[in-house]
Amino acid sequence: MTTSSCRFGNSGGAALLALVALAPCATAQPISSDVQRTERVYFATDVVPILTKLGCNSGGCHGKAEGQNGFQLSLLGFEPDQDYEAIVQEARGRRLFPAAPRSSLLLLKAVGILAHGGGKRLTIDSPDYQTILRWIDSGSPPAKTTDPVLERITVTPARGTFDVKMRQQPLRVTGYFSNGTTRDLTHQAVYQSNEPEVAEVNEFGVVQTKNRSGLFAVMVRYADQLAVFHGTVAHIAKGVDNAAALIAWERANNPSGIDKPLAANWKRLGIVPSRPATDEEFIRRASLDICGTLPTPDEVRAYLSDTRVDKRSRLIDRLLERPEYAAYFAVKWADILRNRGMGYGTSHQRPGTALFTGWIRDSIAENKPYDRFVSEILTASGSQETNPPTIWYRTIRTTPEYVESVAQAFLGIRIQCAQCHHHPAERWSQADYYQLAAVFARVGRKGGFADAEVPTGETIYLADAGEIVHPRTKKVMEPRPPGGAAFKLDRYDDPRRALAIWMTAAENPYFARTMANRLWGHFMGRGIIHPIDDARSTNPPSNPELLDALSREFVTSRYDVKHLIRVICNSAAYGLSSTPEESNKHDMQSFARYYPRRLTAEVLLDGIGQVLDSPTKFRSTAGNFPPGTRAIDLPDEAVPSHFMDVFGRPARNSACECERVDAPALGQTLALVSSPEMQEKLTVAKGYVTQLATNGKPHRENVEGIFLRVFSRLPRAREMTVAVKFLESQTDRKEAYGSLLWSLLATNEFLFNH
Amino acid sequence: MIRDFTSVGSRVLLAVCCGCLGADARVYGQSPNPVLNSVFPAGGQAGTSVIVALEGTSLEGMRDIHSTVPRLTAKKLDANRLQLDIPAGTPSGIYDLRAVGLHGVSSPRAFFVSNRTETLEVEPNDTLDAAQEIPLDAVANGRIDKPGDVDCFKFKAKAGQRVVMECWGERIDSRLRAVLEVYDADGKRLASNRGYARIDPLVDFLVPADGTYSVKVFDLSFLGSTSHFYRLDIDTKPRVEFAYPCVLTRGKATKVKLYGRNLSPGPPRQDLALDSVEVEITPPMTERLKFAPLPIRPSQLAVDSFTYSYPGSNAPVLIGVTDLPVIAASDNRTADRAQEVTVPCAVNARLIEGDERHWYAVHARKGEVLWLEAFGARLGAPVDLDVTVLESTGKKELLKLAATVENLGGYRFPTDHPDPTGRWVVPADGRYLILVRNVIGGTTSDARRLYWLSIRREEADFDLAIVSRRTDQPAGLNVMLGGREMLEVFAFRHRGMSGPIRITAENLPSGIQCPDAWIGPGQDRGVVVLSASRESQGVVSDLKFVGHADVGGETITRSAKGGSMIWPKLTTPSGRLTQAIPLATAPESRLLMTASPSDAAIDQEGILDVAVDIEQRIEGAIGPIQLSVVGLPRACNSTATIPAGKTKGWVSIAFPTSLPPGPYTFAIQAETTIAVSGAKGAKPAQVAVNLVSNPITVTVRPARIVLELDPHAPTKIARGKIVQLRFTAERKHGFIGKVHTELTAPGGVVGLRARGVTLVGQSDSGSLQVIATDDAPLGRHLFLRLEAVGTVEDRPVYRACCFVELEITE
Repeated sequence: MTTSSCRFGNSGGAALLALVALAPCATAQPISSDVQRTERVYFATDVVPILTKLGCNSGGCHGKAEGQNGFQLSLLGFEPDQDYEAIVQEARGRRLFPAAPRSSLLLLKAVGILAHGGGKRLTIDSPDYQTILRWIDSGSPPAKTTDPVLERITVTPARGTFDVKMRQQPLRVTGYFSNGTTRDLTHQAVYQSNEPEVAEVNEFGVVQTKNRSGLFAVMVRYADQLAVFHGTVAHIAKGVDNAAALIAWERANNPSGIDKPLAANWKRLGIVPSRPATDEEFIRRASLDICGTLPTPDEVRAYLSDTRVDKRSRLIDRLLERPEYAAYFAVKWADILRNRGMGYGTSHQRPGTALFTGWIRDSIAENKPYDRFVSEILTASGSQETNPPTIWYRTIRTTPEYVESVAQAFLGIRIQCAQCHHHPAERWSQADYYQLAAVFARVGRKGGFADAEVPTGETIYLADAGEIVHPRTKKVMEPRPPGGAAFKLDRYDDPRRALAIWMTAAENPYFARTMANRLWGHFMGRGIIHPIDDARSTNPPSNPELLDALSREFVTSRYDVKHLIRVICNSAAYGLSSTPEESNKHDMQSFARYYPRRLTAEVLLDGIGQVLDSPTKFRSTAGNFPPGTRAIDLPDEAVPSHFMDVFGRPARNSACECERVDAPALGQTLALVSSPEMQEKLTVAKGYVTQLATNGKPHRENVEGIFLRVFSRLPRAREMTVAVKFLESQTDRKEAYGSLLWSLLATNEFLFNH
Repeated sequence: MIRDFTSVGSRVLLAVCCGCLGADARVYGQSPNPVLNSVFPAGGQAGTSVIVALEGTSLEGMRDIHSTVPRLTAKKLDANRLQLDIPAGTPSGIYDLRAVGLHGVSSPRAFFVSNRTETLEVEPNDTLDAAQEIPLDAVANGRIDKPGDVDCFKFKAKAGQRVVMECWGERIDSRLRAVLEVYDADGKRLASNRGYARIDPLVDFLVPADGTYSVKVFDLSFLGSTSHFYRLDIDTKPRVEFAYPCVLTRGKATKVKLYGRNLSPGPPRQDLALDSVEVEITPPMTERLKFAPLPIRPSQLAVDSFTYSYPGSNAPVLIGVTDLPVIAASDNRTADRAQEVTVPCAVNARLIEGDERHWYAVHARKGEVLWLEAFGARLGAPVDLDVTVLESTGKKELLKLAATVENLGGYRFPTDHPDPTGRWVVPADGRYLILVRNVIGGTTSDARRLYWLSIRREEADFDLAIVSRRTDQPAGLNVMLGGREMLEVFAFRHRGMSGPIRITAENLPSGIQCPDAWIGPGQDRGVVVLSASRESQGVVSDLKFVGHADVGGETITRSAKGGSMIWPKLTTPSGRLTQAIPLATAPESRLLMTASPSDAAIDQEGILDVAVDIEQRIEGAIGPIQLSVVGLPRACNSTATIPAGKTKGWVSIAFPTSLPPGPYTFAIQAETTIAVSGAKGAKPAQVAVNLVSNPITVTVRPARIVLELDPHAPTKIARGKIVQLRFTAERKHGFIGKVHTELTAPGGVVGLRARGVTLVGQSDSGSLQVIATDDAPLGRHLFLRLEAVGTVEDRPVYRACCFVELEITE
């Protein structure tokens, strides 16, 4: 093995760094098979990984769909057969020169002797150059079935904890081949950190932490194998004994169940959780998170005066039984399931969307086990006029939509890359993609009203025939779940049924975890795997033990969603204040505090309507909604509301919850300041402003009521003083109360759940 | 007992009725079409009087009700309200009601005669707090009369009672897509439903504690209008949903389980599963369904059935009947446990589980022809059946039965359904398997997934449905005095039935005529035309149409069922059978079209010239008249235009060799406008007129000469020039005589001269020399044709024609 790592000095020059960089070379014991390796170079496991390391087959270069300057490689080398053909056979073999291997175009361009758009990628004296040269020299043999196959790679160490003393960690990567040999691949592997703000990794596998505490993972890839290093950068306490504080917290809170793995993480990170939320904060938070609804002043007062020790869990139980819980979560699921009303005619689609939303809401209200809920959607059959879950198939109707919606919504994986090429950071191949697509190949459709863009009223049935062909190999794909075994089906079996059984099995590695993560993300503002529908080994959970515990809880409760919500909401973590402590102020992964987030569009509109006693009047060409209909009750996204649109109501174009955005925008400010919705609500005849103006009560009393409505708390002394002073300064009482309320509704304290 | 109609809008409704007259008259000038949109309330209790309000268009002059409720009497109260006296003892069920007025009889609306107490919705009842209290075991008649309307009712119930709330909307011709929600006294929602009997909802509810409960009714899309009416049953009394076996042998007493709710004596089932009760039923011996007080869909026309009413149940249940031996399916879920059945038979079964499969085994001989027909969706069962014939190993499929049936009636009378039917010619002596499964089963189970499979020989049969020719809105059958009206007839041919069907009208009142009409061989649609004398005022009478067909040397007759569109302009087709075919006479017709000849014989490849004469009985300039042929297969379509101001013309119809020989009846339809004078000084109004001629029956005979014009023959001829038209005239079916050819046209060939050619001996091709005169009229010569006459012993016996497209140019 050569010591190309000597070049490491370029990256900074620090002697220590150089030493560390050299470490893998120095410490690596000669591996017995290395000598043999020099005797033969294998295309798939030796040559292609070099191209990957050099970036030749990256998406920006020859790996993109159309290749680069007529030379196309498979993305990241996942299709060695295709690459062999491109290098050896294409262009009449001009890329290699067997008679004089050093004159091969492939090498001449790579070392910059000939003009190369990608610049110089290799030096002649590098081992990678020598490897490719030897391969050409040996007759550029293709991959054979008898060649050793790389079965796995490992990274050593697999975990690491960093602090002031320990800021770097060289990684060592070892490959294990089917012929029993192993090889040090540290310098050939590709590395990538998922949290560059916490830690970076260089091309030689040396991890370098930065000045932020947190968790990170380093993806290591060689050929088609992946490994992950998990790192923890502990918080650097300044004169504070966080460990002691954490012990005190543990004593006070007696963490059990899911709080234990959280506490363990905090311990590793050297941070302490924030103080517990106040009762006022908690009732507002839980009401918004569970029901998408602000608590009323009476509810707040009752909760504050409740002295029972279990009043939080009682509150959670009460909230879970309210119809708003089902309505609020139905909006969430209607987003994920893409229950769209937009199309050529909402009036034609409204019965379907209303039917599906109603079914979702009923399923949530009755706490239908999640496995049954999903199975009924996946295997939905019959008329879209009478069987609500078949409406899912109204929007989901093409191969990519089937595959990607199922993968993202229920398995928490993003597999869309594999439609065109092997997933660059995961195990998913095109075969995985099209095998999952084959599950839906026999979804038949007939009837319906289909004279325009979006057919509706179709009947979904099990068709006799239907197949999916792999676009590259042209092979007919057998239905098979991602990462699972092929289904044993006879010709009359519905593959969707087999998929549903596989998916909802207790041992399924994705299903329960995805829902557990989704709900955790809902209540805690961030998934344990984040984004919540992007689970992969290269995007590991921030707290695997926590996710395991939640998943176990979910499975053993037989997919009882309310139970899972109770577990999360009764945890000490959920009850933490959103006010950061010194040690956790940068924390966005370990849930050492409640992460504030803006109210969603529907909840915000409803909240304003509730505060001002002026429910929104929803109208559309497809029907007028009864007075009192809330935004969370609406059947689809096509009910006109500019306010909700600017606050990020999604168009339901994908199964990703990320489509609902909470990013600030100028339009939001304008909507709060001058939208017709706000003006109408502030001035409506029997609204709260009018009530305040005419109730004859002293301002102090009214201000108390206002704060309870808006913030679910009583005003602080200074707030009371300022508010009363303002009100007294105004001559028009209605105008004064309107202005006060208008101001309070524009505060972050109202706009955010915290 | 009289129940007043108290809901809002009766005057508004009247205004709507009158206001729409103008629009209707403009569009269909000659004959306003009375359309009944709603009857409210849409039902009443037997033995009581009920005041109903009718709403619709062109209902002015309403004087009576035409109903299928036996002995129902109506007393007019005002322009749109009537008092109906429902005789005691009227069997529960859904009947047809129509208004009779100045323009005749209206389209039908459902009217439910019940055995329950009836109440009327009283607004405001939009919230649970304002819920209207009604007694248990009663029916609430309500309307979601504006968008966003919600109706709330409350009732008292005792713990342990099984209360069933069923909303009737779609099944009683309403536009409402109802949602039901049930709440306790604290406002907590206990149950909801958005569709059980197709889209009509039902909530089956075990009362948890004594108290008051509320139910909300609203439209799924929050739409509303006076046409969004409903009936809401809230009761604890027996309700039957289906019978099993679902098909019985005609005339044979059979033990049948009725499934439903509140059928078992004693406390209700705690699991809310369907109850069942066993009864013995002897199906009637008569062929075909005589009368069913239930909504019957067009696709159910071919289901031989009868209705049975369980004592105390709210409505009757439809049960199939057959002349075949009926057997029950048993333990046959895998191919190796296939149930042996003997042909012919009808097998009863239920595919309760979503992925359940039923295997049957039959022994058959080579060349045998068997017909397999499944009945499932047509029984109202939530199934989409798939029937496959396989080799005895169960591995090789031999026949997949067709799962789709052509929709003959289109949007207004959808006859399609998913039940498969197929003809199977047995390839060899042996044992075969038949697999039945439900392709929309999913992962759910449903006790209502009934079916029966009929396996029988090729025994031809048919059914007929008669519907209005109007495709834009529902209509009754009204014939203007001195005028004509046409109905469309759909033939449902079963098991190889291919011969012609003759249709006769019975019970014709004095002054009404309806010549026999033929649906040609292999055809599935035809027309009948009725006419009324100018003296037959005030006729309202039920007609009976009977189809006659020769099957294996015997004549079988089948009564035709009436059919009607329910609502226009819906995204889904909407039609149903009617329980009667009432005819009424309407005011005198302003125009009468007569076509001649009224009967003719013609050879295939012949052209029939039909002369049309319109008698104008009203002053006014008549516009161009568009003529078209109605009632013949598409291959015979032909159109012509009579210029404005003229009332005579002709249309020529070619009968190709593809048309099977036999009798066909058709009519000519004319569309035109008349400028009718209005008030003094006002501009005459252009009134659209749609006329139909007397029926024409033509007997098509096999072609003896097949004429074919050279496809490269010239299509233009200049004045004073000559062109050659080459042709072939192939003799067929043993004809060997002379063939004379001529260029002809109805009314004579103008501006062209042609010398005919006579083909003798083996000669079968020739050339016609055509000369255009110097003053030949420019343009295309209408209906110009080459005509061939075959002679036998010098007598002209056979004729053949083909149109010649020739445009005369300068």
